[in-house]
Amino acid sequence: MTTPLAIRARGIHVDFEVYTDRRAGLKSRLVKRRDATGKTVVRAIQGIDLDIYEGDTVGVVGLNGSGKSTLLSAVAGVLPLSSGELLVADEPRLMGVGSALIAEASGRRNIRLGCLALGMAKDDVDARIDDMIAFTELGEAIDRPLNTYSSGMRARIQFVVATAVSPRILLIDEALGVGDKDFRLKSRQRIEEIIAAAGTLMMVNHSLGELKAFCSRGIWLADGRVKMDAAIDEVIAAYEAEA
Amino acid sequence: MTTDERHDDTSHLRTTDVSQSAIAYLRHMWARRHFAYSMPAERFRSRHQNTVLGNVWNLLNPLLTAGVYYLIFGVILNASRGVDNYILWLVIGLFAFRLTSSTVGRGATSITARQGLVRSLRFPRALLPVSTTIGEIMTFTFEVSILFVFAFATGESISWKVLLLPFVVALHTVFNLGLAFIVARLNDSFRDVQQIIPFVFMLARYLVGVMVPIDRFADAAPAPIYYTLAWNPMVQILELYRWIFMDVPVSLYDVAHALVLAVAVLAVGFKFFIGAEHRYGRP
Repeated sequence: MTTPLAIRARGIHVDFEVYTDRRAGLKSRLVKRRDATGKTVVRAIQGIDLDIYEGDTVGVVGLNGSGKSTLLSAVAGVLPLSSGELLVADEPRLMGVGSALIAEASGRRNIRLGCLALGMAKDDVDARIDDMIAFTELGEAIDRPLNTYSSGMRARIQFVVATAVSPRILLIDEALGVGDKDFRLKSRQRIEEIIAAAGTLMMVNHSLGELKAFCSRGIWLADGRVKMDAAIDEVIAAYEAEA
Repeated sequence: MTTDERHDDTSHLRTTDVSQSAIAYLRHMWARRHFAYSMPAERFRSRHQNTVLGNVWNLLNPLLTAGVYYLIFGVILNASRGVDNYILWLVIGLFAFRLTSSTVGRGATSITARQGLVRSLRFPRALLPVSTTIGEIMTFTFEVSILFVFAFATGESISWKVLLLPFVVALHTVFNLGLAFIVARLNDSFRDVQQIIPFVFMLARYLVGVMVPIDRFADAAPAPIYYTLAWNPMVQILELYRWIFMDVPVSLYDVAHALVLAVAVLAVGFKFFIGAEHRYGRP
């Protein structure tokens, strides 16, 4: 039996153009070239090649700013590549913290909107929304506006949206750390179901224990490059030895 | 984890870039049409939730606007500018023009104001200007109902022409959406655009005949201004609204002119917008 590729990255680069604190004056911005505009280019991902196969569970480790979240966003297709080629077998689904659809709308309506945005059919959403709400265990809070939620409560909304349709490629960016113990257990079961259904997982988490629990393969990023790509235990051992 | 059983075939893989063909892109949009509609509906629902009067403001807002203009131009200045029922003529122009200016104004920030959403969920980004446009039409429906009241109160008789109102709104929307696409991309590249837009509309308000009929100054105007007046489909769109509610003529040539230009603006705007699809969302 052969395992097909799920994700292939070849020489991907992601650059950001950001304003630095010390901004150039209007004159130098208009008269001089681009490098005088007070903008700086941050090279977040600097040439990554990856082959990830169906059923792979990949944990990504690295220091803050090493490009972990950027890599996940790039694979998810929500962040543009500056160069390189990225191919996927199926629409990847990114689960991250901090994003919200409409802060003034209730949790229930945000779940509905999120599912619609991801292309679920309206009837499908209506048929399954009660199950999704039950999964969040938010009780009456589900009808309160999202801007009254704690980060843990928000994470539950995001979790049910991201896992509504069993994605074949699931990307998790620190999203599990915020729930409480019971919810973490439940979400772990759900993720294991997804992996069991021939799903591919890429995960960023500062809890190395969490990565060991889910992943078999590890990738260590440093300065936007792959420093090590091996079994998760080896990668974590090497990473801990250095850090 | 041995690699020899792994397959290096890439024929089943695809890129995550959806903007390669306009047809495929439109199909993706169609699949998510309920999102485009639900998003402004939720915003609309929550907009007045912190006010005592709540959703009554949706009606009160246009009513008070019309009232203020009635007071200033009808009672205090008693202006007519050579137009029968000038107050109604003016209010129709104001509301219809406001639909364009707010659609374009909010359209400009439809991508930039929703970076969190753009960076966490993947969907055709053109849905954002579309949903902004739909949201503004929702507001406009309340203004239209006030226009009916105003037309009735100022002695206009409502005729069969109101049956054509949906077509006029559709034509108007085609034009507005095209502009929204253009400014959404421009503003994503240069945030300066959203600062300029209010001034463009401040000027346009006079140039397209919202306050004063353009034939009052068109002939005497310098050439660049004259061509703005003659070519801008907004002029004909306002005429069409006035034709619906009032006893004023409109020429078929003008309608065709507005239709062709509006469709052209939408086609160009859509192509222009999806040309930068992969760039939206970068920090």
